[in-house]
Amino acid sequence: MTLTLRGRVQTRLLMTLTCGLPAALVAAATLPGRQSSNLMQSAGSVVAVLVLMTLLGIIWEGIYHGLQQRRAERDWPSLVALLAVFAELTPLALAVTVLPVELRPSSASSFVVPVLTAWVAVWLMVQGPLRVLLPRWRLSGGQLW
Amino acid sequence: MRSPQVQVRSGPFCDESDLRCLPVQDVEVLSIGGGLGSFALIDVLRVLGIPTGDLRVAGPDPDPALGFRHLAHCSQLRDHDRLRSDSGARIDNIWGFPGYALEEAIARRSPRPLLRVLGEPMLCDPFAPVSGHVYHGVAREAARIGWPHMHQRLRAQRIRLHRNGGLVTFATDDCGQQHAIRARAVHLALGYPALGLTRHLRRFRGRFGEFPTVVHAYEPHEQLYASLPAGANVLVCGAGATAARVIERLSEGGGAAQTRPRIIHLVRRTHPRSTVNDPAVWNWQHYTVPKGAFGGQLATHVAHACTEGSRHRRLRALTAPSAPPRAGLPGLLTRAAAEGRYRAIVGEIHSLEPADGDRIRAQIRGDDAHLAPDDLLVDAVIDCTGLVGRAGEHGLLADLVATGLARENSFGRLTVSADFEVREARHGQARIFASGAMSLGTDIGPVDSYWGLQAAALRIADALAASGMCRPLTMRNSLAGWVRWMRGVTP
Repeated sequence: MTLTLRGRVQTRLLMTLTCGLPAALVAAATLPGRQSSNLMQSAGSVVAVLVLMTLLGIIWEGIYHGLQQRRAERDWPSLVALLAVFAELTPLALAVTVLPVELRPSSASSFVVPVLTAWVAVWLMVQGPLRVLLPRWRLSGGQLW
Repeated sequence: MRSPQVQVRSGPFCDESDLRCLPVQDVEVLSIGGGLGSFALIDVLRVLGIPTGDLRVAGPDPDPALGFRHLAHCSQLRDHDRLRSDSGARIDNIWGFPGYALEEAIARRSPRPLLRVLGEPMLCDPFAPVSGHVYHGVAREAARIGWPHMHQRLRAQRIRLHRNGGLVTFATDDCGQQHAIRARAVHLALGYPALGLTRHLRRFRGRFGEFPTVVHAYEPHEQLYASLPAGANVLVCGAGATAARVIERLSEGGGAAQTRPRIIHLVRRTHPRSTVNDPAVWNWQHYTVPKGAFGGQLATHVAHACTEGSRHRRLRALTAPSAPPRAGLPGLLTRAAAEGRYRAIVGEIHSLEPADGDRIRAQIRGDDAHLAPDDLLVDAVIDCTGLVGRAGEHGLLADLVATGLARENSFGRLTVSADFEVREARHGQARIFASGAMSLGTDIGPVDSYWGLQAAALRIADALAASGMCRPLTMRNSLAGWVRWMRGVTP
């Protein structure tokens, strides 16, 4: 991928909202042991975690952009983009503790599964299907506006 | 029966009296060139719903990939070889999805192409499409969009502004009959006008005629490899991907090391990153420009240059000759050097002349002009210094410049705006656009790559949509066009 800093941030914001969030909500709803009574609470928790992830993500994108400067061709390999979630998970888990108790994930799986699902969904979308909806996206370093 | 030849006026304008004796066609968009540059734009315009009757392509070959394929074959890139392009740069698909890797994975029933895309460029060399697959895809897409209905075997000679509006292109067919095509927009995608023969090779041909052992890499020269005697000395000039392929081809021969050709590799200068202890002659790079120049950070760096001069300096740095390091070529060169079959020298040809026994005497002058040139006796010379991109070398473009309808930039190409318009030719609603090699100098670096041709095509389509000639490429149009592409249905 060849992204500019603006493209990174804009793509993350748009894709988390339109692709990551729905995927994470579906993943949270289909977790085993989930009762219909706490679906709303679970959805609220997913939204809160993803908002936090996006806010932290803006900082992360700055870090990734800095690391990109160390690459001779100023590109960002797809594999690195996929695996970057493992760098983001621990700081996110710590940041989740600042959320109100009712918005915190009730278990490790209810935190990890929606986050990983959202990440992989966004990554897959960016690898190809996004270009169908936004044909100029790949030509402009990921910038959308 | 031939129609009378009509003299085209020398000024930029023409009127109805100039068209009186000619067969005249009226279209919305005319693309001149008929190669992959024309194909990229016509593909986008067809996806945007312009009917084939409103589009015309003037070019020598009915197959849009034929010119590229011919040059590729000459330069040792055969149909089973892989191009220097990535999976998403699909010339037959304006979205770049699904990429060539996915298509190849399905065809081979193997996940390996996809794993290569995933691991590139850190764990493995980047995926590159097989040339034959690319040509096949172009032929399929050309049939889908109705290319044969739009293409005419015409050679465009002159373009003039019509006093009543629009542009008139005067062209001749194979029989020499002149035609006039009136269009609202003309697109120039003429590629490179000529081979980039070195000065000494040009002079050699002028004095001694054509020798089968002194060739340019983009000329057909297959017989040369077969006719080389055992242990022949071959002088290869150039430091780009073509030189790399030619050297690879020369090194392919089986048998003992002593019987294989000895390659003397002449480069004009060492690579900027080389050191005193390691005078590197190769600039290893996977694509023609660094990956970040394909719309990424390096492209923004070019686009944000304050002046044209500064933009061109940045472009020059990005588009310096380079060769892809794949297929173990660096290792092959190291082995060949150890066996005494490869030697790189820095300098330029000082003189070239025939010697005894069908050999060629080449005098090479190094960096120090005070030293006497080195004398080399070689069996063949292969010039891999590329193609000439100067607009003045092409009759049609030279005329455009002479009539004030276009301007050359510091690269010798056409000056175009960010949306690839030749602004000097704007006349009412009439527009001239240029893409491909002739548009180097705009904020897109790799203008002659598949990616660059498509980026230009999308920008031109946006400009045409803004002037009301077609609908814009919205999310909905794009999705609908892609679904039709996937189904193989005519746009």
